[in-house]
Amino acid sequence: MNAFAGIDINLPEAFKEKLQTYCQSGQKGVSNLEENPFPRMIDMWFLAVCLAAKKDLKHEMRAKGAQYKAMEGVVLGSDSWRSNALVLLAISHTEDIAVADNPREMMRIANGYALAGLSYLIDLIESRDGDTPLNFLCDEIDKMIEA
Amino acid sequence: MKLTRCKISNVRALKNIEMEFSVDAQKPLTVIRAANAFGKTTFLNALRWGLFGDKGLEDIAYQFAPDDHRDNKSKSVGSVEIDFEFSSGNTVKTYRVIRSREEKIDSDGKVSTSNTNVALFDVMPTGITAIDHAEAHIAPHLPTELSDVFFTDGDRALTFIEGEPKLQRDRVQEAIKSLLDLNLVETSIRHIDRVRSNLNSKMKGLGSNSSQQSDELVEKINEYNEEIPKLKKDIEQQEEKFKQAEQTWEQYDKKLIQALSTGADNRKQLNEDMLSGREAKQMAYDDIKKYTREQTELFKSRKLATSLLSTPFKNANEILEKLHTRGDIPNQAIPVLMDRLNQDKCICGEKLTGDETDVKCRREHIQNLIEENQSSDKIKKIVTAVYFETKNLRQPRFSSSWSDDYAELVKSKHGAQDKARDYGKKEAAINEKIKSIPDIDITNIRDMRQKADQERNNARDEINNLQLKLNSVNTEKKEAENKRDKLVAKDKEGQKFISQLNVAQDLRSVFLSTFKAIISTELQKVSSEMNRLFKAMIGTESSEIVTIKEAKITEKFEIQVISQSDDLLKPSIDLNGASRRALTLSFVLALTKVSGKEAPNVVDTPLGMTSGYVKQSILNNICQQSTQLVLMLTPSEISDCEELLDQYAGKVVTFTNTAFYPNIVKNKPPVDDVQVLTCNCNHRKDCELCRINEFSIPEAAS
Repeated sequence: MNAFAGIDINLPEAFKEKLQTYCQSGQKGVSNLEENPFPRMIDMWFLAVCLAAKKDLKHEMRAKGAQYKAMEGVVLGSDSWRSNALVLLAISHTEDIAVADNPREMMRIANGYALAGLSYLIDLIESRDGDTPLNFLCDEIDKMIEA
Repeated sequence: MKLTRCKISNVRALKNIEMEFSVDAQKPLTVIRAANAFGKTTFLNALRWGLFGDKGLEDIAYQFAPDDHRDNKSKSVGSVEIDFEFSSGNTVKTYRVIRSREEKIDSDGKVSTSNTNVALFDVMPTGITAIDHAEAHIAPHLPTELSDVFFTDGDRALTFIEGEPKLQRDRVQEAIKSLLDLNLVETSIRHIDRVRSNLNSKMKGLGSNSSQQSDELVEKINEYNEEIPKLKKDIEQQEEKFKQAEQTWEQYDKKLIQALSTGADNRKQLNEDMLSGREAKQMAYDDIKKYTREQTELFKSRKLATSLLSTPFKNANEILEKLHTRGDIPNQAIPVLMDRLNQDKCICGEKLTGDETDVKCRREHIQNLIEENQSSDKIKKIVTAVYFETKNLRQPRFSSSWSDDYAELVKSKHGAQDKARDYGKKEAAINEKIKSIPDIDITNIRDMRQKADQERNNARDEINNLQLKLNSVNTEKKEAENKRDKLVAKDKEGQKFISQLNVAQDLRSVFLSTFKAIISTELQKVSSEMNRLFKAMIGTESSEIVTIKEAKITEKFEIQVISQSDDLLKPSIDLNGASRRALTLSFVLALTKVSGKEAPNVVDTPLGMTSGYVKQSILNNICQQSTQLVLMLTPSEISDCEELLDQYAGKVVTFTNTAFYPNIVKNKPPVDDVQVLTCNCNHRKDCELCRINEFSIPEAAS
């Protein structure tokens, strides 16, 4: 069951354009998969959460600047393991199982990772030289996992 | 709206004709029966001019004066009088429009037009009353944009599917927008854009101490607002160029294939190699696309998440396993304790019944334990579910790692890329061989194909460049707007403008979504209605039905015909004349039906180039679909359709042009000058006036 179904995912306005740029769902016409590597915005957001946890980035509980509703938590239900992963992340973060009964708090924690992760992910993609975002990111993640 | 009567004076050979139209719902058809050059097109133009004025004429220089009026150097006054009625519920209102103009021919034969007048009258049983501001009253009922849809000729209608692709699309788009009243929505969007631009300009001088900076931003935003539509237009033009070059390339490619396949054996071999190489290259490209999509899916994989989140998953695993080991989860205490109470026997074996103090203490202790457990039961239930549902995340078991999957995919993708490159080289080698063929025809075709290829590539590059520029201008504009908003927000007046701009922006979004929604739903309706009518018209007996699967209108307002094998057929090339006519009439009728506008369909020569079943089927369908239909038919169009005309025609008027006596018109006309005369002979009769030499008209059925 998706505990996050009724919760919105809000992000700073500053990320809006970048999410649209790198996600296929943000394109008006036919998307170029090499340039728009993420099928949906939730995929980019979730990868950002994972990267922040992996790189132990400074967790940001409070976003700066104007916010917008980027996604709805219901989209996490399309891959049900993702909502379970966020529950585990919240338990690990708080070291308290009681958090599992508080979906809003769990989303706040996950989004805190996403805020840190998105900045890192966007910087990473934009540090590519001649490579495409898709290939560059895959190579970087591969290195990260192998390390 | 229905036409009831018309009177035409001195419009070319129509010097003095008056006729009524059928308004019978059971017999909605009025037929103007006339041989070629007997005044059909003049009649159509006169009706268009009468209702729509000069804008209704295809050529603004269209001259009215009859030929014999030109010689006497005098003024010729042409006029058209049309009665039409509008129904609203049970009320029917009749109007009369009278339009006239003078033409003067000078000694050099030059024609000048003057004194153009239009008058509108309310026609009542008690008499007629003039209505002021005639044009303003007529325009809403009869917008000029509709003239091409409702008053057309078979050839003019073909421009919806023939000619330059952009013009075709523009005409289809304009017709759809007019009939669905979308021009109003578009005008509103343009108006809001002007308001936004004005508001932006008014922000000059605002922004407290930073007014100079704010003014510069306002200027910049205005520049961006001018540049963006220009860039969009340029992109559209380049897309059009690309499409045309693509069509030309395909055309010459087909020719080349044909030329090679009919040549000597070595050419045939080249042709086969070229086609098989092209197919293999396409397959390699499809593979690259498939592997690239799979590569993007890698970001969504559970393997990747478990790998990147291994540390938090490990922590959570320890916490959950500890709870499990301690027996806190799954929560089994309550059912066990309840069972003990029901059994009146404690876990330790002591009894739980009786009034002894220790028994009471034991019961009390067990009840306390149940209450404590109940309070933590909800969370334990959730954590129990988490414990079991997350086992595959906390203790993942995969046969291969994410890196293995990625490496495998990269290998496959590179393989496909290598193949595409190899086939590209082979194709280049084949092209070189074709180049060396000493055949002027092939050389020419090959050169034209290469030229089209170059043009296609240039247009593609230009589109990419313009798109990049547009993206960057949009981003810069947005940044400038944000900066401007921040600066002027310091000022009270500025805050007011920002609020107004936000309202304008919201309104624009509403209108734009409305526009898109109408276009997408209504276009779909027109498209499927056109398809239904087209298929009904060409019928199952037509040989073309074997190849035609459907006709549709794309989102870019292109009328397309799809073959059974899903190939795109070019209506102007791949369809015969009858099917082309059926397609365009289907479009016009579908549009009329979906728009819900009641207006007469007036069509000149609708059945030209048609014969047999398709001809009758077209006539039958247009008669069934129209609330009022006026057809101008030649004797050959009428031939084989007499029974349908018996069924649908409420009025038939025959035109006779006296200029054609004695060559075509058999009997001497009752007038000496050249003009069109009318009689009430129908499609089965003739009289002294209309009898002609060229062919015989069937006798009236007994």
